[in-house]
Amino acid sequence: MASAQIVNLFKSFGKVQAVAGLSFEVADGEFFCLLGPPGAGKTTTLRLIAGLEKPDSGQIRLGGESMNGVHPMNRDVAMVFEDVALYPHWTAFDNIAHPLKLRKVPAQEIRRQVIEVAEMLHITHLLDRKPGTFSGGERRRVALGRALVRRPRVLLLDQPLTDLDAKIRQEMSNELKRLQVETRQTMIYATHDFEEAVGMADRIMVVNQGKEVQTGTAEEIYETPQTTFVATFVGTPAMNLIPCHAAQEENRWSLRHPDFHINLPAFGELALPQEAIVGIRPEHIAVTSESDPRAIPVRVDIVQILGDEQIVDLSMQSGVVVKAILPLTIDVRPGDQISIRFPLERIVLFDGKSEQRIVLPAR
Amino acid sequence: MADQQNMLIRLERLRKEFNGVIAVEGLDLDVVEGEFLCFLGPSGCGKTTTLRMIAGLETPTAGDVYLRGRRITHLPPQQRNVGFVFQNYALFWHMTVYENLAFGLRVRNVAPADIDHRVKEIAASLELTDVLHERARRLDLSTMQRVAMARTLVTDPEVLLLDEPLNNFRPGLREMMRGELKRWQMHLGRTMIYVTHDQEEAMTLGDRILVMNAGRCAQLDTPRHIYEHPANLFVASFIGRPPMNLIDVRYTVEGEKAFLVRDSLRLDITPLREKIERALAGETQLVLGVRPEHLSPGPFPEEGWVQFSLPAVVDLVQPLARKKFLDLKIGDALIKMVVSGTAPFRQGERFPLGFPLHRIHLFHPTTEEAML
Amino acid sequence: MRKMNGSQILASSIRWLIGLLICIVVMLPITWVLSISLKPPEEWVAYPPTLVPLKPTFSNYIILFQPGNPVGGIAEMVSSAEPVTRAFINSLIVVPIATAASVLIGFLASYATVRFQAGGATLPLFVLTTRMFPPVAFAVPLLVYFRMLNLIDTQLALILMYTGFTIAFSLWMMRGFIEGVPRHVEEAAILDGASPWRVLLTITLPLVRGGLAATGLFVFILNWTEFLLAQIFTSREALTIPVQVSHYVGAVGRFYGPMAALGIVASIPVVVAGYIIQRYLVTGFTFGLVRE
Repeated sequence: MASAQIVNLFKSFGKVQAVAGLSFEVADGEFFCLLGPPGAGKTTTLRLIAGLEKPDSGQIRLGGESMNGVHPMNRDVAMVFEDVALYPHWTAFDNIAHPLKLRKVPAQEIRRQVIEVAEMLHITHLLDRKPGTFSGGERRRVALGRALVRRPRVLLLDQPLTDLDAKIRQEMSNELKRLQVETRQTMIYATHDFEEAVGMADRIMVVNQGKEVQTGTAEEIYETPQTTFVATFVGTPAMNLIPCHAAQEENRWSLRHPDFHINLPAFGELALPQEAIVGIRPEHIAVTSESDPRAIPVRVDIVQILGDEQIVDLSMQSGVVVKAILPLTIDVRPGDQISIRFPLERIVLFDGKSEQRIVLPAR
Repeated sequence: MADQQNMLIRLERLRKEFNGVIAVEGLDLDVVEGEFLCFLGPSGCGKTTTLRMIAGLETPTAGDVYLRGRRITHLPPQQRNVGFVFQNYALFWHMTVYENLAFGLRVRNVAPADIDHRVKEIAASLELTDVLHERARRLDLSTMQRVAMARTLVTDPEVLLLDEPLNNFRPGLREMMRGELKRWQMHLGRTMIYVTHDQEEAMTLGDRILVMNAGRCAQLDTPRHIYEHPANLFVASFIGRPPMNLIDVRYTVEGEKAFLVRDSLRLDITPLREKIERALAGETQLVLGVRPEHLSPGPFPEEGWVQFSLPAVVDLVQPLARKKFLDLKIGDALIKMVVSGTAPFRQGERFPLGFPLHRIHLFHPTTEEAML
Repeated sequence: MRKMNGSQILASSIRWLIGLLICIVVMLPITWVLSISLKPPEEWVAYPPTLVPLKPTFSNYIILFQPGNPVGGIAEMVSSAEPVTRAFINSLIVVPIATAASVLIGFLASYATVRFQAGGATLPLFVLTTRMFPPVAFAVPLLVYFRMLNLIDTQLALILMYTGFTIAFSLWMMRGFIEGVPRHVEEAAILDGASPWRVLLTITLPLVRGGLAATGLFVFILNWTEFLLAQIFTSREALTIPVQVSHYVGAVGRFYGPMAALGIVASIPVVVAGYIIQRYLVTGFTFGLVRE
């Protein structure tokens, strides 16, 4: 196990710039997540770390040792692929034992270690069978076993849970997190699913078009997205983004939209661009009474029930549609006219042009 | 039924066997015109078989299918006027959107002028006019979904049957496509029957849901009612994520008070005493059900809440985007609880656990039916 | 079980009838050859022909191995022919070696072209050009070369030519199989710490075993039946079975009996080889399904 430092990594395939100057550090024993849409460069980054691709430029260091020019077989890195990639002609035991056999570990010791890993992953009953008949979850467990058995410096996971159905995905991600905590194995995990990342990662790096967008804990990324990209990419349903005009009246700013005005409290020094974007998460939209001065009248379009909550599509008079998550105790039906408000403390502001977050100074 | 007019499809004692294995057993169902009905159940519960019998792709072993009061049990699919949307949409990749839409009409030998008219009409209603001459393989997914619907709708079917169309899309995309589908269904006002094994999909899409288990109807109702009043243990454990906590308990009475007991864990349910005793009819074993999202840490208001006699211990905290799932140990029972994402729970923490009394679910241990 | 009604019975009997007809059409030539090989000379071209020999005899087979044997009275007609033993031994040496060499080289070459894009996109096409000319076009230059190398009428000459002419075939056929091995499986093995050669031998090779068997069988059949080059480059020492068949043509006419008998005998090794590798063929064509 070891730390990993990636410095200014570039990789292109023909005209496509897959990785465009990524730098990050993963601490020894950390669970680090690369989060981004398909094509963001996550998989390429993992393959560069593994040595399966050669970088155009940049440094990769594992445990302080430069990996540039080191053949993948000698990097001591394990990878779990999206399609799992077990050796179909061998039993699960031989699959897991393979890296140990290559390291000339004595047969008895191999047996002990494989069984230990298999017990940890609850797959001892599969050891004598070939992967052909395994379920999706079983395959992942065996692949994890093969990757974990030799305690690599870094374990790379390339969207290993993508094809599983919701329930098994949940189980597997719980298990993976538990394993990581128990073994303190350094892991770099690529995914496009924020929920998956939240449940496991110590830190998350959001990438898009081969570049870093934001790095932080799940909470930081969810609560304070630095760009509109992060705001819409993270969370389902996504954060509502409503373009507004910012106007100054004396020393106060107000955000104007045909359907509503939001008056910001007096901040000391604050300069807003003329075009701003108001961001609000669906769960922060509150239902209020008609008499509320901040009330925004809306019509209920669609109601989707989700556990003790409901996702409600609301259309404002100008036709702008926002999604709100309301408790199931509020009885709304398509066609209803209701009033909502955007709690001031929950609003995130973005610059309409650069799409970067505008940090409001503390009062 | 009073409103025969609205009844589009009726299934009567429908039954299907495959080589002696019963897939569907005595299913009765009325599909109301214009509704979005979901068939929900685990794989092998008979939901797809039922859909295929409505489409005419399977012949029932017994029972009947009616469309607008007409018996169509043995009518071949092409004479039924039902539309079938396949998994992953199965568009013709090499054709333009226009050709995709026209295909169904051409094979039915519709006059070319009519074809053009109907293709353009349906394209307009699904906002496809701009992409009519694009090749199908170049479309984005949400457009593909609309093309798939349009292709089926162009022959003006009475009902659209959808067999897990979103199955192979990645999470995230699924939710988006789901919202779109719901929007278009409401816009078009068409009757749709949608088969899925994903309870979240059924809950968010369906006006009504038919929950199926082992070839039978487990419950047929609105999503809200199914969530709040599951009719039996199967529905209770199938609906909701994470699923409802189910704990085997014993009913005892001490003086004026009534308790649900499991070893040293007790729950005072005196206010429900009469109801429970009537339902139990002498039994003492039953299953207690509480949804993870209805549990809450103390302190609790006096009225309308119940509290477990033992504190809960946090075994595992699993953060999600807006929420956290907690694994709790209470006595020897393992239960799940959902709290908001900002709630500061830590592993090993102890706290009193309770829930609003009206959120309690009780099930009969042998019939597995809901008791309250 | 379902009971069949009248129309279903009719439909199923029609299906059977059509199947039977196809079988007869397919099997007829083979049956005919077998039939002739058991007929005495007067029945070879008798009219009307009979499928079952009137006076069945093994004399055609005996003649193959003992050209001078007077049995059946064919001996005088074909006295010039050698016993087939030499041709048989030649074929059994030349064809398996050439096949093995072709499949091995083809496998390695196609692995290199698929995984490492060796030679870019053009190499596989370039290799294919060897099949674009009629082999006879190569015969004259090759004849000159082989004469200089003193290889005329040797087994080595045939082995070299058969290997060369079938490499294109092996390479192209193996490409499909190698492309079917998920790249990630090989990469996983490299990250496990296996060297590229080890990956090739312990992961890729076992996974394309079926493909190798299928390719091998096709190449074997191509070589086993090759006539033109063998006819040109061999005379006595290195002649192969197809050449030997042609020797049963004399001034008087074609000696159909011994030709047919030799055809039957010559097909035995191919049938046996096909039977042995049949198991691998099946696994070879399904391994791709191991993935989810």
